[in-house]
Amino acid sequence: MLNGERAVSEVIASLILLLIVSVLGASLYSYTLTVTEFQQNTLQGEVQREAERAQERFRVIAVGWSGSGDLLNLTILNYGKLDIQIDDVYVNSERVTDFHAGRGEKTYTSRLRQLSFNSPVSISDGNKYEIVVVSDRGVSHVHSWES
Amino acid sequence: MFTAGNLRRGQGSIVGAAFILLILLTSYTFYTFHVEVTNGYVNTLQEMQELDIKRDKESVEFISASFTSQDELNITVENTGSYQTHLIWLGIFDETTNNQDYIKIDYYVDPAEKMSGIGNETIATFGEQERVIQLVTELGNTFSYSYPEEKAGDGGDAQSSVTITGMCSTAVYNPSRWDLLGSTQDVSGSASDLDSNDGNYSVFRSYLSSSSETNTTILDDGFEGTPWDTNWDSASSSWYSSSWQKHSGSYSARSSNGNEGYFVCDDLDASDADAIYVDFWYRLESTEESDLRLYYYNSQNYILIERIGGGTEDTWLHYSDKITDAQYFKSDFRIRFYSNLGWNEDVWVDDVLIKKEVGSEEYTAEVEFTGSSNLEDWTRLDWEIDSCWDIGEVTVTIQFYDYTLGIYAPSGDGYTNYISDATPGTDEPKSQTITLNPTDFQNSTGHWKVKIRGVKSTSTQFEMKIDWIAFQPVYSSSGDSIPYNVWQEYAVKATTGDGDPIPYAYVSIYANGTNVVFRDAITKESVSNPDWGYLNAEGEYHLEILSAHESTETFVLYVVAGSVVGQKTITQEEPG
Repeated sequence: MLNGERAVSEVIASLILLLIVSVLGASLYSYTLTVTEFQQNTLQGEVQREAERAQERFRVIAVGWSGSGDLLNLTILNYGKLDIQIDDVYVNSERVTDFHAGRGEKTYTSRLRQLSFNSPVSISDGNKYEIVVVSDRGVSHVHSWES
Repeated sequence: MFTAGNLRRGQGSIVGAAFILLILLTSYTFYTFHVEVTNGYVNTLQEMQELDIKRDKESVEFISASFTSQDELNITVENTGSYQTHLIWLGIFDETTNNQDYIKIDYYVDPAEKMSGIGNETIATFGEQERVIQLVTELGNTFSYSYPEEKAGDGGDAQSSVTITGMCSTAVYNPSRWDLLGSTQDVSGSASDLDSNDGNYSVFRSYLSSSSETNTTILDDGFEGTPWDTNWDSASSSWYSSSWQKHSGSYSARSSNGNEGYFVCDDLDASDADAIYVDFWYRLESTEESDLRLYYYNSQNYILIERIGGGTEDTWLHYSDKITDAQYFKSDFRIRFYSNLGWNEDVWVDDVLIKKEVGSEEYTAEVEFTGSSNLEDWTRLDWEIDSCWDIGEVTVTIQFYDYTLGIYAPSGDGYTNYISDATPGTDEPKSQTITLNPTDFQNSTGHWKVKIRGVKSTSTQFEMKIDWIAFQPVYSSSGDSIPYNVWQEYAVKATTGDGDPIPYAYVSIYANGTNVVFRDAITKESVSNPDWGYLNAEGEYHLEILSAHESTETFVLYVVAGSVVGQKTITQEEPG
């Protein structure tokens, strides 16, 4: 009992409580929605990347070597569903750093791309080499080549 | 009672429900989105997997590569894979200079198709210099060929080989059923009786297809010829030609006092008659009834038919009679006049017309036979039919159905007709080879039909006896696939590393199919599976294979000469 002290009426008090609950609820929902959208976008992005990786198909169809030196010419065929670009090449697990042509250039589907580079591994006649070609989406193709 | 406490509880419930609803909606939306994204990803994976499978089954073999007289590169390839191949790049490698050239090409090669002319784009000739030729497909496969082709013996490492090649093959099909046409009756036999020329017949009885009556003139005489009595001179007579009275023309036959007696026509053949019509005109002068008489001859006696001397005088009288009495249906039927005339009595006869009515009946037997065949690439069609009839000289027509024309062949290919032998029961084999559009005689499912029809004018019901019907399409075949239960010929050839035949050697033969049998292609004698074959002077052995598995089956034929193994993968098609 208030014993005659002044106070807000019960109606006003109810409205104030309702306002507080609504504001808190809306804030909580908004936060949840933001988190959910973020998760959705993350999921969609991941799946999209995986789908794109799955649609990538390329392979080395020819390796050119003059018989001396370390200059190699790879001919790469893009037979997948998406355009690709080659970002990295490894020879016997050694990363190629000295590219002459072809790296980072877009290769359309059903088209060929010449990659020219100096092998980080010395090339000699009659040896076998494992050449790994990596695309910008992280898809790799392993090609065994005997010089 | 409404109080402030109640109001708060009510408002709280509404707000709570609203938030629960929002949470549920959000969850559902998130779930739906997740499913959609996942499905899209799975579909992508499936699509790529299908492409990978297709790529694995893609196979192209080089047949040859050469330069034409115009120095154009001409590559011939065969698609030995299961899917259509799209060739998109042609690579020419010079391994001595490390030069790589790729030329964009665009060729589609269907399964089992051989395609020539690939490479006649602008490619500089390289004569007999060594190159590696590479074909790149849209699916990502590459197929290489060393140019010029390495010949056996080159490099000193050539080896003997055994090759197995499918030959042109003949399939023999017999009817599986028949349909009776018209009112032809089935007497005996079954469709299996038609499988071989062995004297076991399927027999069908003919039916009366038509009957008719025909009138044939056997005497037509107005006594205008020379001599005037040329049709009446087999017996002597004193009647004479007269121009005084005539019904038509200039003359008639006359009898008068002193020139009287018999006047008889020559023999008339009425042996096949069903009726005889006698018709003439006569004229009387001063005669009595018995002065002129008419007789018919029944091959034994002259029978008096009528006394006609008592009619109206001095005018032409018409006499007409239909003889249905069979006693006169003789080969020497005659009519005879007899006159007995006094002074001033005369008779004239003119325009004698005698016809016989001959009845004819026609019997017909006609049957349509139906069978199945294959849908291979026919190069020729042979058919053979052996039949006989239990009556001589039947007009026989054999017609195969031309599905392009939509009718039974009216002539030429698929058609023959003949008169059967005069001796009943004589087997008569008939055959024909069709080289022009042989597939006109099969429908889209490989079925065919033939109609055999025999017709004879006779009053006797006869029988058609069919011994053998063989429908034999000849088709080219690589032997990679064979129809169900049909013999396919293969040529096995053993050669040395220099390409010379290996003569008179034994080869072991074996096929690992479920129900595969062999026979010698020359002698047609059965050969066991496995067994030995004997190469001829050319190092060849011709073998026939038949597979009768109840469903499609792929098996391998192995032929081994010494340590050299030749093998061929063969697919038996689904039973038709």
